[in-house]
Amino acid sequence: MSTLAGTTSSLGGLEKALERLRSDMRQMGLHLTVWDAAGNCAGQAQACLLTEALGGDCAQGQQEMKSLAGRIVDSGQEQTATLGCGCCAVGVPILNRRRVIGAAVACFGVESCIDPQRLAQACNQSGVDRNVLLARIEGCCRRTTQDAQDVLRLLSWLLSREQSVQTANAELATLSANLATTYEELSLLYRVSGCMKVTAAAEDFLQSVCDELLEVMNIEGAVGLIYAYPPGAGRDILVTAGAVDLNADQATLLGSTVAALRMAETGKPILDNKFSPPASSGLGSAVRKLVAVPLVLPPVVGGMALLGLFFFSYIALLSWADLSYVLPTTATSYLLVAVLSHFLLGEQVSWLRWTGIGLIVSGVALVFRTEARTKS
Amino acid sequence: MSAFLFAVTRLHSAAHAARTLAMLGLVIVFSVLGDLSMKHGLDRTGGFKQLGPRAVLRSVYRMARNAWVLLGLSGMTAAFFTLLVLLSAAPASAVIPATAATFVLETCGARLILKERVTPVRWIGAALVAVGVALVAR
Repeated sequence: MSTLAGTTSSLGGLEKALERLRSDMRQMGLHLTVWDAAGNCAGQAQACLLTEALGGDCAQGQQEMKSLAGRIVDSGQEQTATLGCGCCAVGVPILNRRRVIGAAVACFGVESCIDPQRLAQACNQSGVDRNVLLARIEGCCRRTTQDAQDVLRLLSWLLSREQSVQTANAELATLSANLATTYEELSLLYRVSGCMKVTAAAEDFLQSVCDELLEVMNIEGAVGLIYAYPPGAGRDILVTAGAVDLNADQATLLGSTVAALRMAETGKPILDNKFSPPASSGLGSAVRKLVAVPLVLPPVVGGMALLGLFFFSYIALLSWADLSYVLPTTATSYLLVAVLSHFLLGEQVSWLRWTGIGLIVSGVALVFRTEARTKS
Repeated sequence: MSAFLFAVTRLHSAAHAARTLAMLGLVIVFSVLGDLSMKHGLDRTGGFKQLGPRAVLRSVYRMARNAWVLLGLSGMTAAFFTLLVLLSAAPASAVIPATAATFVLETCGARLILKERVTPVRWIGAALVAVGVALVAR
């Protein structure tokens, strides 16, 4: 096998992907060479399939492909050529953000490549039976020159697919790195939100959190989901910020199946580096990393117990005094709520609210002056 | 009440607004009915006369067989849960003032149905409390 020593190339990290593409195309009887803008061959330059089968030197063909690649890089256009050995070569430019960074050239043998004289020479050299060799090269020479356009389309489609996969992977890697480094900030945010008193409507609050995340963490998009837990306890709220490609069902599924359940068990934020979305979500591998924080809400159970206590004393009070006496006087609770929220929670109590409290207090004072029980 | 209507008109849809209004009506009806029948039942059974453990148990036993007490209990429970539902559908600053209507309605009920003697001073006190509650949740 004749080779042309490969030199280092600059294809923006595409080399791995192109290597994979090369072996894919080999299955289809196509020989792929990749060239960067400077005219260096990416990776180990290999002889074309025909030369590989017959033996011999492909230096001439390599030179021709190199010059074809040069023409592609210069023009930025697809090119087709017939090589000296009779092979047909097609090439497309490799683009990176609209800039031509190289060219991919595929060559394939056509029928006219099957030269009896060369075949006989190869038989003599390798000692392999003529029919075996013929069968081997017919495998890579089954196309005709008319197939060039089809091969060209195939090549550019394969290339664009590899490139989009490459781009997506790079973006995911950056996103993951960003998320990991800012996880500390996120847990800080979680602790803060635990102490924060939510005064705005839940939806507005969530939206501002998501916008904040975009700013602070420098990410492309954020999804906020308030998942009513336990399921059915209320309305799920979904907000998105930035470039997010999730629909409501998918996001809710994420929240419900994974985030909410796990957080409800532990009460702790989740950072999942190897997140695999449930198959039914249709997300595939679009989501690789999941970060979720529980929103802290007042303990409902404690509230219920207090309420039971209130209920009992309310009934007891009602059996000792008039309804028209008990009802206004129990409005004192509004005063307690305002005072407690002012001093315990540091809440701002507006003058309107103080006025209301003043009215309640004076009303209660008036009712207190009347007899508690007017019936025997 | 007008503040409640205003808040309700800003809700998502006409159907949602109508549901919320109906829910508010239920809260008021349930709490008025619940309180009035509870008070009537307590008057009939004597309620908690003494607070010793045995006396309380005896009272609870007696009250548990009284239809008015049970009706009152279910009315108050229903009012509580409809209030919870209402609070999840509309902001508290709109719901709490609207429930101030129960103060006026129940005082009327205590006067007309339970025949309590509501003196002018008590009327004024109840009205002040109702206005205060309407203001306090803003």
